[in-house]
Amino acid sequence: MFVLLTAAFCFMGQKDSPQTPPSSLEIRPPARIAVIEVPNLSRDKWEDLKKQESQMARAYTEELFKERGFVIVADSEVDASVTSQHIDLKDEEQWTKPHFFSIGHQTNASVVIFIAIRQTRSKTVGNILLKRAAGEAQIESWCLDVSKKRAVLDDIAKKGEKLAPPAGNTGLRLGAVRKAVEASFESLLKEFPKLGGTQK
Amino acid sequence: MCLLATILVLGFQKQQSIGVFPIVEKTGERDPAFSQKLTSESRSYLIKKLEKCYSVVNTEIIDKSLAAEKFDGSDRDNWTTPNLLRLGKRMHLDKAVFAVIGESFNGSSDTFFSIGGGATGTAVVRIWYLDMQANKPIIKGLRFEGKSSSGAFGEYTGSKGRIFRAVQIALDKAFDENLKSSTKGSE
Repeated sequence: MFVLLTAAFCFMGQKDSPQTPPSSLEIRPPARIAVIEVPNLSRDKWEDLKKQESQMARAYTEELFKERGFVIVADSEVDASVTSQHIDLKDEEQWTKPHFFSIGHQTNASVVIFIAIRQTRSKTVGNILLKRAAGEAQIESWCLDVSKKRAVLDDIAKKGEKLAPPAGNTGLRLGAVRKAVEASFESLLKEFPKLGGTQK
Repeated sequence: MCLLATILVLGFQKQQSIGVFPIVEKTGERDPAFSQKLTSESRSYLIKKLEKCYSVVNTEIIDKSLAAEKFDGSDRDNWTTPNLLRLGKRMHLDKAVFAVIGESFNGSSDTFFSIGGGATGTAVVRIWYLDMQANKPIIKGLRFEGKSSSGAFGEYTGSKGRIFRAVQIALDKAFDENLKSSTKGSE
């Protein structure tokens, strides 16, 4: 019983939600990648935390590609393109591939990435005898090859889960978003090893 | 007899038509059979609900028309109000509904006496409810959440079976209020 519970608690991974298996990215480093601002649609009331989750998701996605030799288009340049095209990212009906491609063209990026945080929440896992806090995040992601005008990832939903360490339960939702981002790009980035200097 | 026929015809003429587009499941469900049953069962439930107020167009006609328009419900680029209004007009519908089951969670509400016994299902359904005559949405892609601790469908019992009922609850939330003002034959 105890072994089973321990095994369950040790599970810190991601819950996959595979829709279409991601195809490979044909573009190689040092291609330019534009990561669009991350809207957060979580029903959470803490606006500050939602903002942190969005910023972290964008920064972490950029880090994942940067450490593999891709060139990241400056956030300010991407944001300016979104504004100049009057794209309102809070309106889900504007999350369309034609919009993302046009951002890619305008920023001269080979690849455009868009992530939306669908939901983050805290929950308790375990049972009546042994409970532990956990954060859960669900995100949707797109990865578009601008030159080939093709979606490598097209509205793929992934879940991330972060269990609290025994000592505390801070940053669980942020940790869960991080896990969900990793899960989204995991198979895509497999073929791109980290550059020597940045390898952890 | 003639009077009755006239009343029926007039009644029928006043009744507005509604098309229920195929429901899309985008929760990342791994089991395609479950996904198919969930969407078809939810569509049937929604049709039964709307039949109280509208003349619901046969689903085969809707599906064929959408196929002719090359409408792919699984492609999010198609989930826009202008596009859905355009399709509804092309099909000469008065009203149309498009729904996407976007999130679903299995869970349990354990108590001290029933560990693992209180299976629950949660579903979030995104809905477009469109008025082609007014050329505007009544519900524009809003999310409705349903939670259920009861219900099952076929072989799907436990928390997975609860998701069927959770979707129905989400549909009830979306339409019960909006249909209150609608009576059969007039809106």
